[in-house]
Amino acid sequence: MNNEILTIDNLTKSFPTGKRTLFGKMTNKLKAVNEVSLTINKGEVLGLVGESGCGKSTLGRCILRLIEPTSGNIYFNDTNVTKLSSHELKKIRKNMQIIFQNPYSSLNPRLTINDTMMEVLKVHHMNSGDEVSTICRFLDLVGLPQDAIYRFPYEFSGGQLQRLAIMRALILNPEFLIADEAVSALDVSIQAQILNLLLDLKEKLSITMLFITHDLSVVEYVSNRIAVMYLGNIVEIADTEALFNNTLHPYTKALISAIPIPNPSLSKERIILEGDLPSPAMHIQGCRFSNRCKEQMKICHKISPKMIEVEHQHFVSCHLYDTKYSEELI
Amino acid sequence: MECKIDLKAIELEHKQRRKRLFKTSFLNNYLVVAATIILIVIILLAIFAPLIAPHNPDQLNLSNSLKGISRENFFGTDRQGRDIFSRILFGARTTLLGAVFVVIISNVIGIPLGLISGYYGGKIDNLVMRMCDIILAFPALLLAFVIVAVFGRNFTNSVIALGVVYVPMIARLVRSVTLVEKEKIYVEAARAIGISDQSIIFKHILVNCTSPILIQVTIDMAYSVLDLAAMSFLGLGVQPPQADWGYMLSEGREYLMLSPNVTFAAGFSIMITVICFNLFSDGLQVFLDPQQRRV
Amino acid sequence: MNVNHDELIRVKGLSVKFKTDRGEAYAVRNVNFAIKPNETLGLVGESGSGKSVTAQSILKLHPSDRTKIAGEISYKGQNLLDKNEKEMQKIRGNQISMIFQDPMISLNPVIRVGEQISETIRYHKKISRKEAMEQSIRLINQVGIPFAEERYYQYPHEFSGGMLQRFMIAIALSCNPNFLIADEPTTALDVTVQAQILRLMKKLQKDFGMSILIITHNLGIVSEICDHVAVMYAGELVEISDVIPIFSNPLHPYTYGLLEAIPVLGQKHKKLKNIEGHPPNIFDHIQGCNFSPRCPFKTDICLTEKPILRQVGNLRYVACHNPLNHI
Repeated sequence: MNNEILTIDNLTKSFPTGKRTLFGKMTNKLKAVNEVSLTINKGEVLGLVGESGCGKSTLGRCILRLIEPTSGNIYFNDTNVTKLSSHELKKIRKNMQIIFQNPYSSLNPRLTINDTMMEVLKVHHMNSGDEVSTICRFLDLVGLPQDAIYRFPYEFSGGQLQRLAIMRALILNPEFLIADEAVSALDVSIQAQILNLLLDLKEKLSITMLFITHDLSVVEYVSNRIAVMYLGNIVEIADTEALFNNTLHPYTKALISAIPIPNPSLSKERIILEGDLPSPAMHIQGCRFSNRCKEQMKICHKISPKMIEVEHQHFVSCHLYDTKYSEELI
Repeated sequence: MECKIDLKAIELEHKQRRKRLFKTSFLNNYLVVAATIILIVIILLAIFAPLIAPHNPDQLNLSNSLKGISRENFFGTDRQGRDIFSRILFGARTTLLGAVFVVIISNVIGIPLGLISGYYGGKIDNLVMRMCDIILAFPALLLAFVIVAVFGRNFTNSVIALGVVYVPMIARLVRSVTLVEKEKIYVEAARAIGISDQSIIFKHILVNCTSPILIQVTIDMAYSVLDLAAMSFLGLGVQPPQADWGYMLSEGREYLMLSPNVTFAAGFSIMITVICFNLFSDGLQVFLDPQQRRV
Repeated sequence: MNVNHDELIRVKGLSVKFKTDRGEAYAVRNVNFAIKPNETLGLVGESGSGKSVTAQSILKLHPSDRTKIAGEISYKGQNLLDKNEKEMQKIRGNQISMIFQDPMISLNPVIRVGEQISETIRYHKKISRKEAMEQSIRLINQVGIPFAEERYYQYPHEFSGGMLQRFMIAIALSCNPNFLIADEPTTALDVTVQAQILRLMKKLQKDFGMSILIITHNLGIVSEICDHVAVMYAGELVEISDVIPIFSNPLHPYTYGLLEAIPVLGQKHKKLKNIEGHPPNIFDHIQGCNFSPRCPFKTDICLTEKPILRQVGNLRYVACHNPLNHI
């Protein structure tokens, strides 16, 4: 298929942790992202959901090589991003951009909006002599007044700053945008504005998006497909409808059921997981969810499950759906 | 889509805003304005010292020794009978120039070292910081003595020596600010956009270090005046009979009980200059930091 | 308003004014509400709406030199605002407790968690060290932490956020308070852990028989555990209601806007409606209704006259010239 814009193949990122030895080496490894494979199709919004520490942000940063992945490959439009030199990387970053969670620190407080945007354009040699009107056009696009151009970041509210961060990412006309918890730090009434803005711009500028968040209701609203991550592994990927209507992985089920619904007359049966998210540095035999799973079997503590396609385009990594084991080993 | 707005109008408004900002943050602060004016006066006095000074600062006249304040000698005379007022004027040249160069040297070396060591970390950081530790392990003056002893006794060498000795302080300061700033998201965002490390360090991070650097600069100015004086006192810096505030300060100490004029005149000159530098840098900080200058 | 003896706490005409470098500003203006025993009131609002300030002023946690509090907070018939610092210390933690948003920074990192609970108990009750310890261990068990005896001797950094919030709850409950204030208790936690904590709070409310004031921006949490809801905007209450009608039949345009602006699981195809603009900060001066610059239903009167909170039905209050629905 030539429809794919980004393919992640067996990506692993481990950080050294634990005690330092005499020579400064760390004794242990923390696998923040563990052999993740993923494809993103042109024009879609892929939601990446998980709780804190599950490695979703690390994955996003690895794609842009803001963090160097330990192993694995990332193909962006058939270019292997992991093998690029820093010069080629700069070129490809014109096409891949990211917006971050905290709007208050994502713009340099000492530079005016004009300075910040000019620099972005200059770095990518897009100085056609008409930069100011480009900047004005984009200010319009993200719904800010044009006299914002000579202002400093402190003069804006959180929502406006996030619009500016979006603008900085989009001013290069990228094909692919990573939104890393882009609305999590915002107030509820502002969150809706930014979500709608992102969706509008995605249509207008035909952008593909990877939407990273911990909030399932947000991800349901924006995404075509959703990948659920737990402790460095992707446990389930499916189309949005399929994921919510036919939830397969026990973790996804628990996650969905944990969300409080703003409708008091609708009482629902909850699956409440016991315990907390274990630290990614903890060594867990077999399936990494096995110690909190309500449907665990013996096999889960021995062998880690593989990703299998249970239905068309619905992948899950759980022994419950793996016919090979289910008969003999339960 | 067309950009219909009148860009000139926006730019004009922007310029007017900057003027307003300058007015509210700088000019409306009377202390800062006063300090700036005094500093300018001091600098002018130093530049035009030969025209203003009523006497030759180096003219010995032992019969005129330790005179009090008079119309002839505004601040009196010192033990050698030289006019203190003229010596203060001429001393401003050596003292200020010396202090400014000490600060320039330490900043030009220290700021890039601090930025690079903080931003890259690892081995470079270790190397730079251990070198700073070595310099800091010796008392600053002692180290400067060694440098001067090796390269020869004159004022230039003592300025360079002090400049080098001050490097670790500024480097450590810049490094610590860099460590904080580099974790901020705007740095990561700049990397994501493809901005080179060089620009990130010297544009994005450096502008956010200005406040602490300015504070350090004013403190260093004061210290270097005193340290230069100490070196001159020991015969390593300014060579007599050249006038220098610091040297006068320590020289006058010998006969402080007999006649405090020399010490007082030099001491007050140093004090006023340092206070004015401090106030000026306060004002500058408020003006440079957009967060502080709310209209 | 007549004195109602069923009420545990009544806040009457509460205004909080801060002195800042930029002049004085109202963070909270003329807030009225009441909570009955064993009830849970949810105080909903966005950041800067004054919901935390309201809660903190019940316990008088503001520095007195920079804040002016006016109005009346009557707790069991006594006005808390008349009490001095010493009397307040006896009430704080003992009769009225509070838990905060971030458990990671609310506990002292160098003192064992168990001792932090015992300390609170011993501060308010004259009992021996050993008795306090036994009580603490019982409490740790009650908040759902296994191996309480061992946990007693551990330090905060050895626990995850969810566990620490349980310890915070244990400290808050250590003296059997009648009233618990929970300021965004689950905002710093993951959803699966949030569900645990909410369930725990509901259970403990029954066991201890206390009233809860929960401050949150999350309407899902409100619907989950509250009996009543008070919505705040720009320092003022705009709507008070029982929990069920406010979701099905919001009266204030802001409440309606909030409900329309949050994505709800299972309603993907409903397009989110924006509330245009952004909340005012406390220095902004708005003529008429605070919400009028953002309100899609505003009329002329909204721009000139400030609406007051008025009763429109059984236990329903709204501050709006043109409420959306009628009862």
